[in-house]
Amino acid sequence: MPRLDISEVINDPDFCSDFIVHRTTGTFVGGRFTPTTTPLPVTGIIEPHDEKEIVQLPPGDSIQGSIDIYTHKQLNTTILAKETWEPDRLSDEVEWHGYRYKVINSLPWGDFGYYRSLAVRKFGA
Amino acid sequence: MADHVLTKEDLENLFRDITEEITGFSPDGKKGQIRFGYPEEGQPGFERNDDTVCIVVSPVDNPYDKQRNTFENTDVEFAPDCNVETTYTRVFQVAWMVFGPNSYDITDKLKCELLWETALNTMDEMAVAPLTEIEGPAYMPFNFQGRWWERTDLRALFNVGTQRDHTVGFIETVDVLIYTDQGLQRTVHAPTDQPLAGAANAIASVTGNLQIEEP
Repeated sequence: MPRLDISEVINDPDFCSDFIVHRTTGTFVGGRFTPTTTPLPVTGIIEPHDEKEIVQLPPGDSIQGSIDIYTHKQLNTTILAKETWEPDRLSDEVEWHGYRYKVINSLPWGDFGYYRSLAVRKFGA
Repeated sequence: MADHVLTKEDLENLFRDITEEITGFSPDGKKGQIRFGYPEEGQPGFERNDDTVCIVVSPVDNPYDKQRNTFENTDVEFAPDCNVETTYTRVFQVAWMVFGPNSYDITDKLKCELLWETALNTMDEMAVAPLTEIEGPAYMPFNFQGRWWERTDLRALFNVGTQRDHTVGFIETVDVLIYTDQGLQRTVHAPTDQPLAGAANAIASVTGNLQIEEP
């Protein structure tokens, strides 16, 4: 087990901020996944992963962008529930500066006291 | 008759119910053994040993879709308009992507029982009929995260009866103006269902002997 633990940096007021994580669970109804979303207040560090980029498509411009999120607890991607090993949840969504970002990658650096997630801007425009 | 246009969701629900009847799988609950492809926000996946059916319904181009049958209905219920009924056949492809260790057996069962009375009657209630020459299942395992996963696909085409109505203006009467060498003039309001009879009566009343033959 590594001895380096940098979890206290996640809560350092010089770096951290408060934001909302929208956690989604659900079940299938008639073949369609029916989600239930719960907002959770979380403290962590958010920083841009890459720049806002415009993609010019025939029907119109779309905007891409992504962020890195550092937290004490791992954010969900679509995942099996550990209790039942059944899939019952979708990726978390993070609300930051008025936009929603969907978590697509969650790296388990828990042995060092933190988790790092990558989230992409949800709306195209 | 009113419009009869099945939406894509109507067709998805129809084939979900038929698939549930044939396979015994449930489209509800945590596992979602029957589900649809391309959900907007994504959906939970499944384990390698979970038998799972994913249905995708899509329209296809087909010569049978080109013909239009038009019937002009002038029943009094639509007066003063004429109700034009346009019927045609749309063709849809339904693809079953089946995953899990029993994927081939499930697709083989689907291929057979889609043509049994139970499924045919269910489809018939919604004016849907299969093209009976169904392709055989396609076995296509794939490698994911270091393991080979079982997958078998089945595709079938279905004719979907469709009707769309619209109304058009309907000519109820035609004015027939009659002139003679004496300059006499008579205006006859001839109903369009009996134009010649009305005009003939008017002409005979003026001239006394002119007759018009009905076509």
